[in-house]
Amino acid sequence: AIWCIVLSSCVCCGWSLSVKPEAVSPRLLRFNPTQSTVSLAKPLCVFDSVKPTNEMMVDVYVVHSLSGTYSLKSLNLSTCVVATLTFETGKTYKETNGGTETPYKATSFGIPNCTSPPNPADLSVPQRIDKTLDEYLVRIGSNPTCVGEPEAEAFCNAPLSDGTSYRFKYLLVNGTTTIAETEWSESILTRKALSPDEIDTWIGKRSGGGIVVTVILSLLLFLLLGAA
Amino acid sequence: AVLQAAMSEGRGSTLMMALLVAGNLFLALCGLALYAVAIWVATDGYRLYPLSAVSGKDDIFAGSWIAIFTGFAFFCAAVYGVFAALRESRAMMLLYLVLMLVIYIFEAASAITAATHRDYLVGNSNLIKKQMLTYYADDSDPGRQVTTTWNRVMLEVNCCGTDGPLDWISYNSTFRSKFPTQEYPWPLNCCKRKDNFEVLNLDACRIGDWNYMNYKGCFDHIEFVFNQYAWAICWYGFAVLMFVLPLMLLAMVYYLKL
Repeated sequence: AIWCIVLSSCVCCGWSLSVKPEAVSPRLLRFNPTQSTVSLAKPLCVFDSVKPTNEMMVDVYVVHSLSGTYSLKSLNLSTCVVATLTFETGKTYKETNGGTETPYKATSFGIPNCTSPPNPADLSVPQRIDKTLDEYLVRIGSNPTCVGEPEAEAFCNAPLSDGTSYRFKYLLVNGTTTIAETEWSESILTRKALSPDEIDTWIGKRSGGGIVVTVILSLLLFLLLGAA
Repeated sequence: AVLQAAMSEGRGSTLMMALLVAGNLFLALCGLALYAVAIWVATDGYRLYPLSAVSGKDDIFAGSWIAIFTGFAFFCAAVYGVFAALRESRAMMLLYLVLMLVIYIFEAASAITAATHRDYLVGNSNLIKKQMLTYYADDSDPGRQVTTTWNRVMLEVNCCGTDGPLDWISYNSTFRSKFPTQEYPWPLNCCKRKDNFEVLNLDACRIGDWNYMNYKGCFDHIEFVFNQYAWAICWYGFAVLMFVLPLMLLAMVYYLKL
Protein backbone atom coordinates (compact mmCIF):
# COMPACT_ATOMS: atom_id res chain seq x y z
CA ALA A 1 0.00 0.00 0.00
CA ILE A 2 2.97 2.29 0.62
CA TRP A 3 4.11 1.73 -2.87
CA CYS A 4 1.34 3.68 -4.48
CA ILE A 5 2.21 3.50 -8.07
CA VAL A 6 1.55 6.10 -10.66
CA LEU A 7 2.66 5.31 -14.12
CA SER A 8 3.67 7.74 -16.71
CA SER A 9 3.00 5.59 -19.64
CA CYS A 10 5.56 5.66 -22.34
CA VAL A 11 5.68 2.66 -24.51
CA CYS A 12 8.44 3.71 -26.81
CA CYS A 13 11.18 4.19 -24.35
CA GLY A 14 10.33 2.18 -21.26
CA TRP A 15 8.58 2.85 -17.97
CA SER A 16 9.34 5.46 -15.45
CA LEU A 17 7.63 4.88 -12.13
CA SER A 18 7.04 7.73 -9.77
CA VAL A 19 8.24 5.73 -6.81
CA LYS A 20 11.32 6.56 -4.82
CA PRO A 21 13.61 4.12 -3.05
CA GLU A 22 13.46 4.68 0.68
CA ALA A 23 15.80 3.98 3.55
CA VAL A 24 14.43 1.39 5.95
CA SER A 25 12.43 3.13 8.66
CA PRO A 26 14.26 3.93 11.90
CA ARG A 27 11.48 2.06 13.64
CA LEU A 28 12.90 -1.17 12.26
CA LEU A 29 16.55 -0.28 11.95
CA ARG A 30 17.31 2.35 14.50
CA PHE A 31 20.89 2.90 13.39
CA ASN A 32 20.32 3.20 9.66
CA PRO A 33 22.20 4.73 7.88
CA THR A 34 25.63 4.17 9.38
CA GLN A 35 28.86 5.89 8.36
CA SER A 36 29.28 3.76 5.28
CA THR A 37 26.12 1.79 4.69
CA VAL A 38 22.52 2.56 3.87
CA SER A 39 19.84 -0.09 4.10
CA LEU A 40 17.12 0.45 1.52
CA ALA A 41 13.72 -1.15 1.47
CA LYS A 42 13.42 -3.39 -1.58
CA PRO A 43 10.86 -2.26 -4.16
CA LEU A 44 7.99 -4.55 -3.22
CA CYS A 45 5.40 -4.90 -5.97
CA VAL A 46 6.67 -1.72 -7.55
CA PHE A 47 7.53 -3.22 -10.88
CA ASP A 48 4.42 -5.37 -11.08
CA SER A 49 2.75 -3.15 -13.61
CA VAL A 50 5.57 -3.95 -16.02
CA LYS A 51 4.84 -7.68 -15.66
CA PRO A 52 8.39 -8.69 -14.87
CA THR A 53 9.66 -12.12 -15.76
CA ASN A 54 11.83 -14.23 -13.55
CA GLU A 55 15.07 -13.56 -15.36
CA MET A 56 14.76 -9.82 -14.81
CA MET A 57 16.85 -8.25 -12.09
CA VAL A 58 16.67 -5.03 -10.11
CA ASP A 59 19.86 -2.96 -10.25
CA VAL A 60 20.62 -0.34 -7.63
CA TYR A 61 22.35 2.83 -8.78
CA VAL A 62 24.06 5.23 -6.44
CA VAL A 63 25.19 8.80 -6.94
CA HIS A 64 26.34 11.68 -4.72
CA SER A 65 23.43 14.04 -4.42
CA LEU A 66 25.66 17.08 -4.75
CA SER A 67 27.51 15.73 -7.73
CA GLY A 68 28.84 18.74 -9.64
CA THR A 69 28.96 17.34 -13.12
CA TYR A 70 25.70 15.54 -12.89
CA SER A 71 22.46 17.36 -12.57
CA LEU A 72 19.67 15.38 -11.00
CA LYS A 73 17.06 17.92 -11.95
CA SER A 74 17.16 16.77 -15.53
CA LEU A 75 16.05 13.37 -14.31
CA ASN A 76 12.92 14.56 -12.64
CA LEU A 77 11.17 15.45 -15.87
CA SER A 78 7.56 14.61 -15.61
CA THR A 79 7.44 13.31 -19.12
CA CYS A 80 8.86 10.14 -20.45
CA VAL A 81 12.21 9.53 -18.84
CA VAL A 82 14.27 6.52 -19.55
CA ALA A 83 17.23 5.50 -17.50
CA THR A 84 19.45 4.96 -20.46
CA LEU A 85 18.81 8.45 -21.71
CA THR A 86 19.71 10.31 -18.56
CA PHE A 87 22.81 8.46 -17.57
CA GLU A 88 24.97 5.68 -18.77
CA THR A 89 24.10 2.41 -17.08
CA GLY A 90 26.58 -0.23 -16.10
CA LYS A 91 29.27 2.05 -14.71
CA THR A 92 31.19 0.66 -11.75
CA TYR A 93 32.24 2.19 -8.47
CA LYS A 94 35.79 2.72 -9.68
CA GLU A 95 34.84 4.23 -13.03
CA THR A 96 32.63 6.84 -11.43
CA ASN A 97 34.91 7.57 -8.51
CA GLY A 98 32.40 6.24 -6.03
CA GLY A 99 29.45 8.01 -7.59
CA THR A 100 30.96 11.47 -7.44
CA GLU A 101 30.68 11.95 -11.18
CA THR A 102 27.88 9.79 -12.47
CA PRO A 103 25.76 7.03 -10.94
CA TYR A 104 27.27 3.60 -10.51
CA LYS A 105 25.69 0.23 -10.22
CA ALA A 106 26.20 -0.96 -6.68
CA THR A 107 24.39 -4.26 -6.61
CA SER A 108 21.49 -6.14 -8.07
CA PHE A 109 18.95 -8.58 -6.75
CA GLY A 110 16.06 -10.65 -7.95
CA ILE A 111 12.62 -9.13 -8.10
CA PRO A 112 11.01 -9.23 -4.66
CA ASN A 113 8.11 -11.58 -4.37
CA CYS A 114 4.95 -9.56 -4.56
CA THR A 115 2.51 -12.36 -3.85
CA SER A 116 3.93 -13.12 -0.40
CA PRO A 117 5.62 -9.93 0.77
CA PRO A 118 7.75 -10.14 3.91
CA ASN A 119 6.09 -9.18 7.14
CA PRO A 120 8.05 -6.65 9.22
CA ALA A 121 6.81 -8.42 12.34
CA ASP A 122 8.88 -11.42 11.28
CA LEU A 123 12.00 -9.39 12.03
CA SER A 124 11.59 -10.38 15.65
CA VAL A 125 11.15 -14.07 14.92
CA PRO A 126 14.59 -15.70 15.01
CA GLN A 127 13.61 -18.57 12.73
CA ARG A 128 12.47 -16.26 9.97
CA ILE A 129 14.82 -13.34 10.40
CA ASP A 130 17.40 -14.22 7.75
CA LYS A 131 14.82 -14.79 5.04
CA THR A 132 12.86 -11.70 6.03
CA LEU A 133 15.89 -9.45 6.10
CA ASP A 134 16.93 -10.68 2.70
CA GLU A 135 13.47 -10.18 1.23
CA TYR A 136 12.92 -6.89 2.90
CA LEU A 137 16.06 -4.83 2.47
CA VAL A 138 19.18 -4.32 0.42
CA ARG A 139 22.28 -2.96 2.08
CA ILE A 140 24.32 -0.50 0.05
CA GLY A 141 27.99 -0.32 0.94
CA SER A 142 28.19 -3.79 2.38
CA ASN A 143 31.39 -5.03 0.69
CA PRO A 144 34.48 -3.49 2.26
CA THR A 145 37.03 -5.56 0.36
CA CYS A 146 36.18 -5.28 -3.32
CA VAL A 147 37.59 -1.77 -3.81
CA GLY A 148 41.12 -2.74 -2.92
CA GLU A 149 41.25 -5.84 -5.11
CA PRO A 150 42.73 -5.10 -8.49
CA GLU A 151 40.94 -8.01 -10.07
CA ALA A 152 37.70 -7.32 -8.34
CA GLU A 153 34.49 -8.06 -10.06
CA ALA A 154 33.11 -5.35 -12.23
CA PHE A 155 30.47 -4.28 -9.77
CA CYS A 156 31.49 -3.43 -6.30
CA ASN A 157 29.08 -2.54 -3.53
CA ALA A 158 31.81 -0.60 -1.78
CA PRO A 159 31.41 1.34 1.46
CA LEU A 160 29.93 4.80 1.07
CA SER A 161 31.75 7.86 2.34
CA ASP A 162 30.77 9.20 5.75
CA GLY A 163 28.83 12.42 6.10
CA THR A 164 27.83 12.41 2.42
CA SER A 165 24.38 12.58 0.85
CA TYR A 166 23.52 9.96 -1.70
CA ARG A 167 20.62 9.29 -3.97
CA PHE A 168 19.52 5.86 -5.05
CA LYS A 169 17.56 4.49 -7.95
CA TYR A 170 16.17 1.08 -8.84
CA LEU A 171 16.30 -0.11 -12.41
CA LEU A 172 14.46 -3.15 -13.67
CA VAL A 173 16.72 -4.76 -16.23
CA ASN A 174 16.59 -7.73 -18.50
CA GLY A 175 20.19 -8.50 -19.32
CA THR A 176 21.47 -5.11 -20.37
CA THR A 177 18.11 -3.71 -21.42
CA THR A 178 16.45 -1.36 -19.01
CA ILE A 179 12.77 -2.17 -18.69
CA ALA A 180 11.68 0.29 -16.03
CA GLU A 181 13.07 2.64 -13.46
CA THR A 182 12.03 4.33 -10.26
CA GLU A 183 12.73 7.94 -9.48
CA TRP A 184 15.85 9.00 -7.63
CA SER A 185 15.39 8.76 -3.91
CA GLU A 186 15.48 11.75 -1.61
CA SER A 187 19.06 12.41 -0.66
CA ILE A 188 20.09 10.21 2.23
CA LEU A 189 22.90 11.40 4.44
CA THR A 190 25.37 8.86 5.79
CA ARG A 191 26.45 9.43 9.35
CA LYS A 192 29.37 11.74 9.84
CA ALA A 193 32.40 10.25 11.61
CA LEU A 194 33.25 12.52 14.50
CA SER A 195 36.69 12.56 16.03
CA PRO A 196 36.92 11.29 19.60
CA ASP A 197 39.28 14.21 20.28
CA GLU A 198 36.28 16.49 19.99
CA ILE A 199 34.73 14.97 23.10
CA ASP A 200 35.12 17.41 25.94
CA THR A 201 36.01 15.43 29.02
CA TRP A 202 35.78 18.37 31.38
CA ILE A 203 33.55 17.42 34.28
CA GLY A 204 31.30 20.44 34.06
CA LYS A 205 28.94 20.53 36.99
CA ARG A 206 30.23 19.00 40.20
CA SER A 207 28.02 16.88 42.40
CA GLY A 208 26.43 18.56 45.39
CA GLY A 209 27.63 15.79 47.70
CA GLY A 210 31.24 16.34 46.69
CA ILE A 211 31.01 20.07 47.39
CA VAL A 212 29.35 19.56 50.78
CA VAL A 213 31.91 17.01 51.94
CA THR A 214 34.87 19.06 50.75
CA VAL A 215 33.71 22.32 52.28
CA ILE A 216 32.61 20.93 55.63
CA LEU A 217 35.68 18.78 56.10
CA SER A 218 38.06 21.61 55.21
CA LEU A 219 36.32 23.97 57.64
CA LEU A 220 36.30 21.43 60.43
CA LEU A 221 39.95 20.67 59.87
CA PHE A 222 40.83 24.33 60.38
CA LEU A 223 38.61 24.39 63.45
CA LEU A 224 40.36 21.38 64.94
CA LEU A 225 43.83 22.68 64.16
CA GLY A 226 42.82 26.00 65.70
CA ALA A 227 41.54 24.26 68.82
CA ALA A 228 44.69 22.19 69.10
CA ALA B 1 25.26 21.80 79.23
CA VAL B 2 26.77 18.42 79.95
CA LEU B 3 30.13 19.77 78.85
CA GLN B 4 29.79 22.83 81.09
CA ALA B 5 28.73 20.74 84.03
CA ALA B 6 31.65 18.46 83.48
CA MET B 7 34.06 21.36 83.17
CA SER B 8 32.83 23.02 86.37
CA GLU B 9 33.47 19.87 88.32
CA GLY B 10 37.16 20.29 87.69
CA ARG B 11 39.77 17.59 87.38
CA GLY B 12 38.77 14.59 85.26
CA SER B 13 35.18 14.11 86.19
CA THR B 14 33.87 10.59 86.02
CA LEU B 15 31.08 11.70 83.67
CA MET B 16 33.56 12.94 81.09
CA MET B 17 35.61 9.83 81.52
CA ALA B 18 32.55 7.66 80.97
CA LEU B 19 31.61 9.64 77.87
CA LEU B 20 35.12 9.36 76.48
CA VAL B 21 35.30 5.64 77.09
CA ALA B 22 31.89 5.01 75.54
CA GLY B 23 32.65 7.31 72.57
CA ASN B 24 35.97 5.65 71.93
CA LEU B 25 34.48 2.19 72.08
CA PHE B 26 31.88 3.26 69.52
CA LEU B 27 34.60 4.84 67.36
CA ALA B 28 36.58 1.60 67.51
CA LEU B 29 33.58 -0.17 65.96
CA CYS B 30 33.13 2.60 63.36
CA GLY B 31 36.81 2.32 62.52
CA LEU B 32 36.51 -1.41 61.93
CA ALA B 33 33.46 -0.87 59.74
CA LEU B 34 35.29 1.78 57.72
CA TYR B 35 38.16 -0.64 57.36
CA ALA B 36 35.77 -3.29 56.02
CA VAL B 37 34.01 -0.91 53.60
CA ALA B 38 37.34 0.32 52.27
CA ILE B 39 38.52 -3.24 51.69
CA TRP B 40 35.30 -3.91 49.79
CA VAL B 41 36.01 -0.95 47.49
CA ALA B 42 39.70 -1.75 47.06
CA THR B 43 38.95 -5.35 46.03
CA ASP B 44 36.70 -3.95 43.26
CA GLY B 45 34.07 -6.67 43.07
CA TYR B 46 32.68 -5.27 39.80
CA ARG B 47 36.18 -5.30 38.29
CA LEU B 48 35.99 -1.87 36.70
CA TYR B 49 39.37 -0.70 37.97
CA PRO B 50 40.95 -0.56 34.46
CA LEU B 51 38.39 2.02 33.35
CA SER B 52 39.62 4.41 36.00
CA ALA B 53 43.29 3.44 35.88
CA VAL B 54 43.82 3.86 32.13
CA SER B 55 42.81 7.51 32.27
CA GLY B 56 44.89 8.03 35.42
CA LYS B 57 41.78 8.78 37.46
CA ASP B 58 42.01 5.91 39.91
CA ASP B 59 41.98 8.13 42.99
CA ILE B 60 38.73 6.60 44.20
CA PHE B 61 40.80 3.51 44.82
CA ALA B 62 43.62 5.56 46.31
CA GLY B 63 40.99 6.97 48.67
CA SER B 64 39.92 3.46 49.57
CA TRP B 65 43.50 2.44 50.39
CA ILE B 66 43.84 5.48 52.64
CA ALA B 67 40.55 4.53 54.29
CA ILE B 68 41.80 1.01 54.93
CA PHE B 69 44.69 2.58 56.83
CA THR B 70 42.63 5.20 58.64
CA GLY B 71 39.84 2.76 59.51
CA PHE B 72 42.24 0.45 61.24
CA ALA B 73 44.14 3.38 62.77
CA PHE B 74 40.89 4.76 64.19
CA PHE B 75 40.26 1.38 65.75
CA CYS B 76 43.72 1.25 67.36
CA ALA B 77 43.73 4.88 68.47
CA ALA B 78 40.22 4.55 69.94
CA VAL B 79 41.22 1.50 71.98
CA TYR B 80 44.31 3.38 73.14
CA GLY B 81 42.05 6.36 73.98
CA VAL B 82 39.92 4.16 76.26
CA PHE B 83 42.99 3.26 78.34
CA ALA B 84 44.30 6.82 78.26
CA ALA B 85 41.00 8.10 79.65
CA LEU B 86 40.83 5.40 82.31
CA ARG B 87 44.42 5.99 83.43
CA GLU B 88 43.83 9.78 83.57
CA SER B 89 47.33 10.24 82.24
CA ARG B 90 48.10 13.63 80.61
CA ALA B 91 50.93 12.18 78.50
CA MET B 92 48.73 9.38 77.16
CA MET B 93 45.86 11.79 76.39
CA LEU B 94 48.26 14.09 74.54
CA LEU B 95 49.56 11.23 72.43
CA TYR B 96 45.96 10.13 71.81
CA LEU B 97 45.00 13.62 70.62
CA VAL B 98 48.01 13.91 68.29
CA LEU B 99 47.33 10.49 66.79
CA MET B 100 43.64 11.27 66.28
CA LEU B 101 44.44 14.57 64.60
CA VAL B 102 46.84 12.91 62.16
CA ILE B 103 44.31 10.18 61.33
CA TYR B 104 41.57 12.78 61.01
CA ILE B 105 43.58 14.68 58.39
CA PHE B 106 44.21 11.52 56.38
CA GLU B 107 40.59 10.44 56.52
CA ALA B 108 39.41 13.87 55.42
CA ALA B 109 41.79 13.61 52.46
CA SER B 110 40.38 10.18 51.60
CA ALA B 111 36.77 11.36 51.66
CA ILE B 112 37.45 14.49 49.60
CA THR B 113 39.53 12.56 47.05
CA ALA B 114 36.81 9.98 46.51
CA ALA B 115 34.09 12.61 46.02
CA THR B 116 36.14 14.77 43.65
CA HIS B 117 37.31 11.94 41.47
CA ARG B 118 33.87 10.49 41.21
CA ASP B 119 32.95 13.75 39.50
CA TYR B 120 35.92 13.46 37.15
CA LEU B 121 35.18 9.89 36.25
CA VAL B 122 31.42 9.65 35.97
CA GLY B 123 30.23 13.26 36.31
CA ASN B 124 29.20 12.80 32.67
CA SER B 125 29.77 10.03 30.16
CA ASN B 126 32.37 11.85 28.06
CA LEU B 127 35.53 10.65 29.77
CA ILE B 128 34.45 7.01 29.66
CA LYS B 129 33.27 7.37 26.06
CA LYS B 130 36.50 8.93 24.85
CA GLN B 131 38.51 6.30 26.66
CA MET B 132 36.42 3.56 25.10
CA LEU B 133 36.85 4.98 21.59
CA THR B 134 40.59 5.45 22.07
CA TYR B 135 41.54 2.21 23.78
CA TYR B 136 38.97 -0.41 22.78
CA ALA B 137 40.70 -2.81 20.35
CA ASP B 138 43.99 -0.96 20.77
CA ASP B 139 47.09 -3.13 20.59
CA SER B 140 48.69 -2.10 23.86
CA ASP B 141 48.53 -2.96 27.52
CA PRO B 142 45.91 -0.33 28.44
CA GLY B 143 44.11 -1.35 25.25
CA ARG B 144 43.98 -4.94 26.37
CA GLN B 145 42.68 -3.98 29.80
CA VAL B 146 39.99 -1.66 28.47
CA THR B 147 38.94 -4.14 25.80
CA THR B 148 38.54 -7.07 28.16
CA THR B 149 36.70 -4.91 30.67
CA TRP B 150 34.28 -3.58 28.05
CA ASN B 151 33.73 -6.99 26.52
CA ARG B 152 32.84 -8.41 29.89
CA VAL B 153 30.60 -5.51 30.88
CA MET B 154 28.70 -5.54 27.57
CA LEU B 155 28.15 -9.27 27.85
CA GLU B 156 27.19 -9.33 31.51
CA VAL B 157 25.06 -6.20 31.65
CA ASN B 158 23.58 -6.62 28.14
CA CYS B 159 24.55 -3.15 27.06
CA CYS B 160 26.45 -1.64 24.16
CA GLY B 161 28.85 1.29 24.06
CA THR B 162 28.84 4.09 26.60
CA ASP B 163 25.56 5.79 25.71
CA GLY B 164 24.43 3.16 23.22
CA PRO B 165 25.44 1.56 19.90
CA LEU B 166 25.48 5.02 18.30
CA ASP B 167 28.82 5.68 19.99
CA TRP B 168 30.42 3.09 17.78
CA ILE B 169 29.07 4.44 14.52
CA SER B 170 29.15 8.17 15.26
CA TYR B 171 32.83 8.46 16.02
CA ASN B 172 36.10 7.44 14.50
CA SER B 173 37.77 5.07 16.90
CA THR B 174 40.50 2.53 17.22
CA PHE B 175 37.84 -0.12 16.85
CA ARG B 176 36.54 1.51 13.65
CA SER B 177 40.02 1.74 12.14
CA LYS B 178 40.50 -2.00 12.61
CA PHE B 179 37.08 -3.35 11.76
CA PRO B 180 34.97 -2.13 8.83
CA THR B 181 31.51 -0.77 9.59
CA GLN B 182 29.90 -3.22 7.18
CA GLU B 183 30.80 -6.26 9.20
CA TYR B 184 31.37 -4.81 12.65
CA PRO B 185 29.38 -1.63 13.08
CA TRP B 186 29.71 -2.36 16.79
CA PRO B 187 31.57 -5.08 18.68
CA LEU B 188 29.81 -8.42 18.53
CA ASN B 189 29.37 -8.29 22.30
CA CYS B 190 26.61 -5.80 21.54
CA CYS B 191 24.65 -8.60 19.89
CA LYS B 192 21.91 -10.23 21.85
CA ARG B 193 22.81 -13.74 22.85
CA LYS B 194 21.19 -16.98 23.79
CA ASP B 195 21.63 -18.39 27.28
CA ASN B 196 24.77 -20.17 26.13
CA PHE B 197 26.21 -16.88 24.83
CA GLU B 198 25.77 -17.87 21.21
CA VAL B 199 24.91 -14.81 19.09
CA LEU B 200 21.18 -14.85 18.43
CA ASN B 201 21.49 -13.74 14.82
CA LEU B 202 24.67 -12.26 13.45
CA ASP B 203 23.28 -10.68 10.29
CA ALA B 204 20.40 -9.03 12.07
CA CYS B 205 22.78 -7.69 14.70
CA ARG B 206 25.16 -6.32 12.08
CA ILE B 207 22.41 -4.57 10.24
CA GLY B 208 21.18 -3.01 13.47
CA ASP B 209 17.92 -4.83 14.04
CA TRP B 210 16.59 -3.67 17.38
CA ASN B 211 15.48 -7.13 18.44
CA TYR B 212 18.88 -8.68 18.05
CA MET B 213 21.15 -6.25 19.79
CA ASN B 214 21.61 -4.52 23.12
CA TYR B 215 20.66 -0.93 22.54
CA LYS B 216 21.11 0.26 26.10
CA GLY B 217 24.36 2.07 26.93
CA CYS B 218 26.72 0.75 29.60
CA PHE B 219 27.27 4.09 31.25
CA ASP B 220 24.42 3.62 33.72
CA HIS B 221 26.07 0.52 35.05
CA ILE B 222 29.55 2.08 35.21
CA GLU B 223 28.20 5.19 36.89
CA PHE B 224 26.27 3.06 39.38
CA VAL B 225 29.39 1.11 40.34
CA PHE B 226 31.68 4.10 40.74
CA ASN B 227 28.99 5.98 42.62
CA GLN B 228 28.71 3.10 45.04
CA TYR B 229 32.45 3.03 45.55
CA ALA B 230 32.87 6.77 45.88
CA TRP B 231 29.90 7.39 48.13
CA ALA B 232 30.81 4.45 50.35
CA ILE B 233 34.27 5.87 50.94
CA CYS B 234 33.16 9.47 50.99
CA TRP B 235 29.90 9.50 52.94
CA TYR B 236 30.81 6.80 55.38
CA GLY B 237 34.19 8.44 56.04
CA PHE B 238 32.41 11.75 56.42
CA ALA B 239 29.99 10.30 58.97
CA VAL B 240 32.84 8.84 61.00
CA LEU B 241 34.65 12.18 60.93
CA MET B 242 31.50 13.96 62.08
CA PHE B 243 31.51 11.67 65.09
CA VAL B 244 35.26 12.06 65.72
CA LEU B 245 35.06 15.85 65.87
CA PRO B 246 32.97 16.19 69.11
CA LEU B 247 34.85 13.24 70.57
CA MET B 248 38.17 15.05 70.05
CA LEU B 249 36.80 18.30 71.47
CA LEU B 250 35.67 16.37 74.52
CA ALA B 251 39.08 14.73 74.80
CA MET B 252 40.75 18.15 74.59
CA VAL B 253 38.67 19.50 77.44
CA TYR B 254 39.35 16.34 79.44
CA TYR B 255 43.07 16.76 78.76
CA LEU B 256 43.04 20.38 79.90
CA LYS B 257 41.23 19.46 83.11
CA LEU B 258 43.64 16.70 84.03
